[in-house]
Order: sequence, then structure tokens, then C-alpha cells
Amino acid sequence: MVDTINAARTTLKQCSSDLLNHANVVATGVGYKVTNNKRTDTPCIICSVEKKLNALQLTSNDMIPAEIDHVVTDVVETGVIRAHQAPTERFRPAPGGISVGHKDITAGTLGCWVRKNNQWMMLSNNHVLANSNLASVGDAILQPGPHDGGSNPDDQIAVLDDFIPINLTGLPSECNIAGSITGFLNSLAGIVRSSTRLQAVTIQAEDNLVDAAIARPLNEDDVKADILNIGPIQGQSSAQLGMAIKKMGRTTGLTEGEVLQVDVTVNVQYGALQIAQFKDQIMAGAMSAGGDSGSAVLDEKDNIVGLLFAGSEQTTIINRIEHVFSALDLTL
Amino acid sequence: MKHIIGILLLLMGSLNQANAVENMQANIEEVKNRHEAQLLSLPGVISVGIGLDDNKQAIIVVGISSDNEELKARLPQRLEGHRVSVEYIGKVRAQ
Repeated sequence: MVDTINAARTTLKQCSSDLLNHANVVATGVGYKVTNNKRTDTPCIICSVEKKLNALQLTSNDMIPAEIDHVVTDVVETGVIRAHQAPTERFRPAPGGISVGHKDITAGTLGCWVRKNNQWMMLSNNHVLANSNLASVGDAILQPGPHDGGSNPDDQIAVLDDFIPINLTGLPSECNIAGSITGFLNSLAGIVRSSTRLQAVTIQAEDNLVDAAIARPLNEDDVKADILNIGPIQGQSSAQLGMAIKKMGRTTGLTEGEVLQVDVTVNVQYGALQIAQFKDQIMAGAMSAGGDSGSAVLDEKDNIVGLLFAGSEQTTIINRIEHVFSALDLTL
Repeated sequence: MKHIIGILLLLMGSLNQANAVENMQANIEEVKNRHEAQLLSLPGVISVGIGLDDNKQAIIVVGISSDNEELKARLPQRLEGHRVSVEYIGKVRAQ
């Protein structure tokens, strides 16, 4: 009996390639023998197999010997080992939760596949699929997005079909003169007890409910209605305060959070110079980063409740899926 | 007879009070909607929403972009009876 791990490693070096030629073996390594579900102190050579078979199902050549050069062996079932595909890679068919983008942007997330007029549509944000209002219907949508190496036309997966324009305005003015004028006017408003106060803004803000767009696949074979690392969407639900939620996104992958605020009116910055006010939004704690925009947000039972589009280091801002589906006339 | 009428009046009074409390809590969305434009006009205020406090009571939550004591001091602690909580959330950007 060999009692050191190092001796087992030396033996494994000599027999590893032979063991990997046995039918069913997917990996070899050194560890401690497990007997009756308990780890013992006996070093051993572990053969991971796709499926554990009994002696009758194997030829004698494919049987793993109980000992090799006095080192005991163990056989564990691990199934097929696959390389995890990163959400930034190219997928065909393409599930939700992976990199996508209009040809002129960096990259965002393909939220999920939805139906419109009996046709599959990819759902994400306007600022992901329609370049923040600047795109034209019919423009190329790439998977992965351009920042992740997607090129046009090789990686084109869809064409922009429709989007809800975002009412964008200039940022609050940092102009000192405008600031002084509004300050003066606001102090006057204080004197006359008016509850209205002014802020120097380049253009008057208008309300938005969604940052949403859909794209039509070039080939329906490229549609995978699941969400990566989550599975199929079970239905649709309405976000409530305290609800546990999750999303799969291009940048931070699968993350979980909780609905901390509802009925949120929030000012969201687009690029360096523009801002848009959104009403009736859902706010969660930090569960996303740049590139996760467009992620479908699901509850614990895998019902879709929202479309993620913005955030800060402390928060995540999510459109209600009710508003997204009604604005673009979509169903699951 | 007088006593009975007195008790009935007392009962009706307390029922009305209970209704008043219920109505006040049901209106937190309205109160938020009435005040949010003014709150959002203050430089540094980024969001106004409805959240829960530690006792699971609905409160109005004001999100601010910088941890600015002067701004915090300007924000109300209550609006029409509803508690207001001020939270630092930083700048919110499209992601």
C-alpha cells in the first residue's frame, strides 16, 4: 500500500494515457479513496467516467484494475465534461443571456426570444439593438456583439425589426450663468412659496417606460428559446417588493438579487452627454455591469418579470416586462 | 338609551379613524407621484421610488448621486405622513 500522494502521482504519470484509452474514462487524477460515501486517508488514482458500468457491460481490457503498482484506484461518475462556453462567444443556435449588438455598438445581452405575429424575435434594449435611436429598421444585429469579435456580415444573426424610441435630453447644464439664473429664480420661487423649482436643463425631459427593441432572426434554426445557465422561461409574472430575482448577462453572468424598490422614477445617463427619465421602473441591488443591458430578469420560478437596462455600482434598473410586451406587442 | 347611543358614536368614530389610517397608507404612490418632480429637480437627486423599511412598511426612497450632507439636509424626512429614506446610489448609466 502506497501511503503518500506523491507516490500515487508518480504512478499516475506513467499510466494516465493508458487509463484514458479505456472506454468511458473522461479524466484521471489523484485524490483520496471514497468508501461508503466517506473520504478515507488512502491516496488513490481516480478515474472519472462518463457512466459507471458493471463488469458484465465492459470487456476485460476496459475494466479499471483495483490497484496499479500498489496504488488503489477509484471510479467516479462525472458525466461528459464539456468546456463552458463563455457568454461572449459565438453561439448557434443562440440562447438568451449571451453577447449581442447592433453593428455600430460595443456589446449588450440577448435577453430572450419572444413571439410577435407568430414569428420569433430577439428581445433586448433599444441601446443594444437600435444604437440608442440611431439605427434603422433592417440594420444588421451581430452575435457576438462587435466588442466581443462579432463581425459584419459573418456573425450577423438578425435584422433590427422594431424599437421604442427613447426620449433623451441634454444633461443638467453645468453652465455657471444658467446655474446662477436658475438659482436666482428658485430663490424667488421660495419667496412666493411656489413648490416648483427650476433646474438648468438643455431640453425638457419626457417620460420613458422601456428601453426595448426586437430583431428578427435571419434563420429560425439559430433560435434557442432557453436562457443560458437558466433553461426555459416558464411564464410571465409581475415584480413585487422583496421578490427574489436573477438574470444571465454577457458581462457578470448569472447573478441574483432582490426587488428593493418599485414605482421608481429615475434619471439614467446615456453616454457622456444625454439623460433619459424613466417611470414605473424596478430597482434591485447591484447585480449587473456594462454589457449586461438587455438581460431578461426572472423570478425564482423562472417567470420573466423584467428587462435589465441600467445601473450604478449600488443599483440595477429594470423595465417592467408588462410595459415591454405591450409596447412592442409581444408574447412568450 | 343615552349610553347605548354614546357607545355607538364612539364605535363609529374609531371605525372612521381606522379607515383614515388605511387610506393614508394606500396613498403612498399618490404622495410619491405628487412630490417626485420637485424632488428630482434638486441637483443630485437621481431617483424616487417605493421601498420597504426594516419592519416591511412601505416608504418613499430618494436616491442621490453623491453622499452630500447638504443635499440630505434639504430633503424631507416625511411626506404627508409617509417616511422618506435617502440612499446613496451613485450615477445610474445605461449598461
